Amino acid sequence: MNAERWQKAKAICFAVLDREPDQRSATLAELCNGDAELRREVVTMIMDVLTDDGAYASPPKPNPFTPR
Amino acid sequence: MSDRDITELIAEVRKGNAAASDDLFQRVYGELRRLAASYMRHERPDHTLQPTALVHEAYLRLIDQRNLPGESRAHFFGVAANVMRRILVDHARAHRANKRGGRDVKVPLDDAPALAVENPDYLVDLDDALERLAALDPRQARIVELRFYGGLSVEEAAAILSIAPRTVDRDWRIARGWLRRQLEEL
Repeated sequence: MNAERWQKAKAICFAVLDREPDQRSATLAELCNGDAELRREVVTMIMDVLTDDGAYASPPKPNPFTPR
Repeated sequence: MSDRDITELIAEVRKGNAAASDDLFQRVYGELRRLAASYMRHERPDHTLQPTALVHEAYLRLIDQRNLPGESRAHFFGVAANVMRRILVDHARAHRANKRGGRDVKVPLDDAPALAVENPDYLVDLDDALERLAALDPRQARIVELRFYGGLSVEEAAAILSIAPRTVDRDWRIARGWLRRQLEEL
């Protein structure tokens, strides 16, 4: 995948995630516009965002020197 | 150079002084190298290095925190994360030649920096994958650098990049998933 394609997939991914869950499927179909490969790439990104639990909650490692 | 000088150095860098930028990098590099070497000398051979802890320790040693505005603090961590990555990867590349032997150790991506000593191949492969990610999405690669090697939270990374924490969170998750698949394909 090239950078242009990646950014396009990411933009669609973010747009879909900004929708209510019951509207996401329709938004995905609309923005991918029949491009099956693009759709696969976007779905992979969406799944990474939705299934990577805990990433937002804390830094990657406990740290004894956390500054104020 | 005194603590006050490095605080002034950051201010110069923020004004766009390229020479100050080089000086700052060298100063942070020297301190982190020294800390890492000292750590490796005194710890047991089977220890795991905690690079993000070293970055924060360097911050406490180098910076006069009373005189440092918040943006400069962010700037320091932005530089230090990049320095830490280079130190770890240089160390890993130097040690991988005589430690070749299988990629059968599967590790969670979160622990990547801790593997600098024990699994240099993994760290070099991760660095190569991060370079490929940077070609697709420079911001995502930078976020990974700040989080992995600088130990920064999503909120701290968001402050450095001047974007919303939610955007950092999404980029971080996408980048992690992509990196994980890249490393599994090796």
